[in-house]
Amino acid sequence: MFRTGVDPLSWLVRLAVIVLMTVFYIVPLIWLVTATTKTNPQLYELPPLAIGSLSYVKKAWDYLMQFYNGVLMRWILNSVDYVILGLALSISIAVPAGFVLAVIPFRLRQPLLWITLLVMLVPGDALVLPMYLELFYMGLIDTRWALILPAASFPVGVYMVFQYYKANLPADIIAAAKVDGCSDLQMFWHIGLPLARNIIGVLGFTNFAALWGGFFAAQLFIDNANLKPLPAGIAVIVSQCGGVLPTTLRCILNPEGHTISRAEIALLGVVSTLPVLIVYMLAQRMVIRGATAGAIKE
Amino acid sequence: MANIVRQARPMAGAQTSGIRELAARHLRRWNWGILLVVPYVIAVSVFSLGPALVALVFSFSEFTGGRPQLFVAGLNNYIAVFTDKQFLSSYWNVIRFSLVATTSGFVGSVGVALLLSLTRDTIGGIARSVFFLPGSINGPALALMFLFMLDPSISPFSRIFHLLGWEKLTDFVTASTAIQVMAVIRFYLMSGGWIAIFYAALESVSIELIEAAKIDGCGPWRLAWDIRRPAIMGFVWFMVIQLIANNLMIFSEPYLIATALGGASFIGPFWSPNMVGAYYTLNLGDFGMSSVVAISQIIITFASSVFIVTKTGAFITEVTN
Repeated sequence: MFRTGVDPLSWLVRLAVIVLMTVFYIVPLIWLVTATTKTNPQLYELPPLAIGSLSYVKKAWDYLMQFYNGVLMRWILNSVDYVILGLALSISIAVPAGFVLAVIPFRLRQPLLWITLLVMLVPGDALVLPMYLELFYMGLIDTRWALILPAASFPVGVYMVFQYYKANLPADIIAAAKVDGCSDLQMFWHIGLPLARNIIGVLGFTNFAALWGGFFAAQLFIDNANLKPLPAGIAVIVSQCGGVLPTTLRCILNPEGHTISRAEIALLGVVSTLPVLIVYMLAQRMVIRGATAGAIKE
Repeated sequence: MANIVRQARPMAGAQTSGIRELAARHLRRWNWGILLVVPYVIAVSVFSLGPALVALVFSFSEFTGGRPQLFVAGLNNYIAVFTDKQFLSSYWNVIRFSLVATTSGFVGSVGVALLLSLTRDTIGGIARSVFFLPGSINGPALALMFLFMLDPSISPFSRIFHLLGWEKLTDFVTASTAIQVMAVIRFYLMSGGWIAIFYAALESVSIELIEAAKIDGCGPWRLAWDIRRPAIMGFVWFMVIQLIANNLMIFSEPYLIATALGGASFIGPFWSPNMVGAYYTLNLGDFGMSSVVAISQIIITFASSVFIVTKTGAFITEVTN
């Protein structure tokens, strides 16, 4: 037996699987990044994972900026706008709600917890079509609020906060605060909110990926090109310019006849993925906690 | 008479101040903390429960000139949708896709997580971190990346494709292999994260239990299967049901592929129910039929939620204080 406590064959099988899975997961990501450093001909000529020239990244970016007078930057800023406002709205509503569910007895607390549990497990895409109908008659379709306001309903976050307070806020502290004459609002302000710093980070990281990468709702709710977030903008470029297959290059960007091709599409992929990738790398433990919504009971 | 009036005035005043004091006492006792949950109740009513109710009402309604005539349509919308071959074939597509993607996701994620947990070492820790990264790629970017990965002319896996006799994308990416291709894309997106999550859960099994099992003669494989695996099974059910529900709702990847490849696409514009629903909504303006599609999905996903919450035991369902 090795020092690891497994026999050599098991160790080899384990290592082989790890290597295969790592290649499967990482090689496409590496390709995507290195593709941005190559021209379209170099994608065919150079080895797939070879690095071209960093100057081509700037060129690819400049070509993308020539699409409809730099609307790509508008899309990136829209995504940032919707994510920041969506996060602020969702967290500011979820933290007090989770606190109340965990700490403050009231008649509808149990039904509200059940509703939270059932709703949080329904995939967001299942509600996009009916939400379009609702927002249509509210007059919010094709406005930025169509993508920001729905973030207010964040049952996953509420449940995570509820579980967090149940695990980390002893009943004795609540009882002592009540004895001291604290009202519920004062308890939240002086005890709940300072304690919420850790869980706010988890909520933020958890919700960030969903808000940044949301596509179905953006595609359905927003028609105005200037209001689209980045994922929906990628669909616009791909549908108008092709660029994925060499036979489908449709957008002539400049008098030199340059089109949006695979290198530019790869750069789009990197730009759209990079913020979430950074978050995942920095805050993996928090994201894992969020992904399970506390389903692993502590 | 004046005396009676003068006597009546202090009594009326006493009654008024009594009512005021009662109201003030009631207000002092009232649970103002409930105000903290009111925004959430409004939000979940409007943006989670509200859409479901809207879909239900609209599914029985007609829309002429954009104005809804509620409950006028009866079952006409349901008949129209459930006799639409595109809708039926879209469900057939996603049911088959979900079977393949869920099975491969389940076997792959649990199997690799158990394998990782055979022993504790740096390689396992690094692998967990690395496997988690693909989950960061959003739908459009993921679909585009995979179209490049599957193109033998530029893919880093081109040598394997050439060995199998595939020279161009359309040699093996066709309508008949669409399910498998979409399942590979989904596996890439979802499995790494689940492996990392299961691995974390497996590592949280108590050391004492593991040591006791080892003393009883458990080898690493037996340890993984009989001791560690049961620790995550409730959570595995959660994953399986969530995967099924999510896979049935798929939209981003097939939509992007159909858009990107146009006439050469192996994915049609009505490949999934959500794509059909989007067509009803945006192209036909038929909110009634679109609502029927939504209702069909809400029923499936709500049933899966009820199952997860009541049967897996993975969530706290009681407020205890």
